[in-house]
Amino acid sequence: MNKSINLLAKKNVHNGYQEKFLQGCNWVAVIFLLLTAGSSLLLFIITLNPSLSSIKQQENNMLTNLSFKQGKIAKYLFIQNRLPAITKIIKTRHHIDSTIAAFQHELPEDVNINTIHIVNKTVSMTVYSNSLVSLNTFFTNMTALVHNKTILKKMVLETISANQGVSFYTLSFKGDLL
Amino acid sequence: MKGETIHQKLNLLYFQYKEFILPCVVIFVCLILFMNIVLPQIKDFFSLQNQLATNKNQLQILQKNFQQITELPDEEMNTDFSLVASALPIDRDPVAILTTISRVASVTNLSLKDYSFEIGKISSLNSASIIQIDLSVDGNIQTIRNFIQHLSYGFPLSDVTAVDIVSSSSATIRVSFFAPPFVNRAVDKNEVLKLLTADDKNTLLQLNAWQNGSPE
Repeated sequence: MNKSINLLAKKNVHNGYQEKFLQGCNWVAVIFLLLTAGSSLLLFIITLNPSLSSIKQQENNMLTNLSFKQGKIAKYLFIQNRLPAITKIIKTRHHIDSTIAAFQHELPEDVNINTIHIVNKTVSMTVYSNSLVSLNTFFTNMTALVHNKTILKKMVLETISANQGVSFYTLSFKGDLL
Repeated sequence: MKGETIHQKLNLLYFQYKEFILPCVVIFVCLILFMNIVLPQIKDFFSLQNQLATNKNQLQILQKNFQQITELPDEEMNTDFSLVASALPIDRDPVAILTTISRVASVTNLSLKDYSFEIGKISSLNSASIIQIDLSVDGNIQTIRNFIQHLSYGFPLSDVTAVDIVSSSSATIRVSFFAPPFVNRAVDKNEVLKLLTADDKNTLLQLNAWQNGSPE
């Protein structure tokens, strides 16, 4: 009889592998089961966190408290809405009074204003005097205003006329305000 | 005969691997449960966290707003409100305008000849918020200048946009009075009430000074 023939060995090895694999499968199944059940339970407990409802409650309380101050809030919002608009109006409005004052400041004593017309950043003005020298002084002063760029941006001398009957001279000019 | 062979083979496979059926079914069921229950739970958890953070933020904002509003002194608030409302009213108020013009004319000794203006539809949000008035006045240049100056300190706020002085004794003055509409809005839960800026406070001081008769 040939003693090298082994009829059982292969079967035992095969059964050993299968058993180990089965054990592995069982472990994996148990781990899966525990993981699924555990994580589901844990997440359920976490989502039952009462802090959200507590925060919502506090929020509602705060809203109720604020509703008692509604009048004050409305007034505050009104002030907040109006103030920038007021600031803008104050900053952008024309200062015709100071423009007239600046022109008056440049007038020599014997020169008088006859007409002033100011609209849309343009000015036209007529002055009169019985002295041509004074009119010249006024004109020089006005020219300085253009050069200094304080009031006027541009100035055009329109007419100089003489009235022989009442012996005075009239000067009129147009200009663009800054 | 062939069917019998397959049946026998299947039986053989069943008996050979029947211990594997239970763990495989458990793993399969667990996977399905994970996909259908645990994953949505995870998603819910994160959305809950977001909601919690949002609500906490909203609560903080509300608390801050409440604190700010409570800290503002009522009396000061009422004074500022009246001041601002008279400087820049919501509606075009012809009575306030006429009162201001008459008062300023009286203070500056200017003689008002005639004036006319169109009010338009009162309290209309879409209509223009400026009332233009053409005033015919008698007075010398100094008086007219004073009138314009005092008018700029008067309430409602105005802007003299054109002046036509004739013969140094009379003038036509075009004045614009402002009354922009105010749209009242509820406080947004996510918006912190802004405090008044330094510019706003300066404007309030200026308005206060003007109301008390000081031009500066």
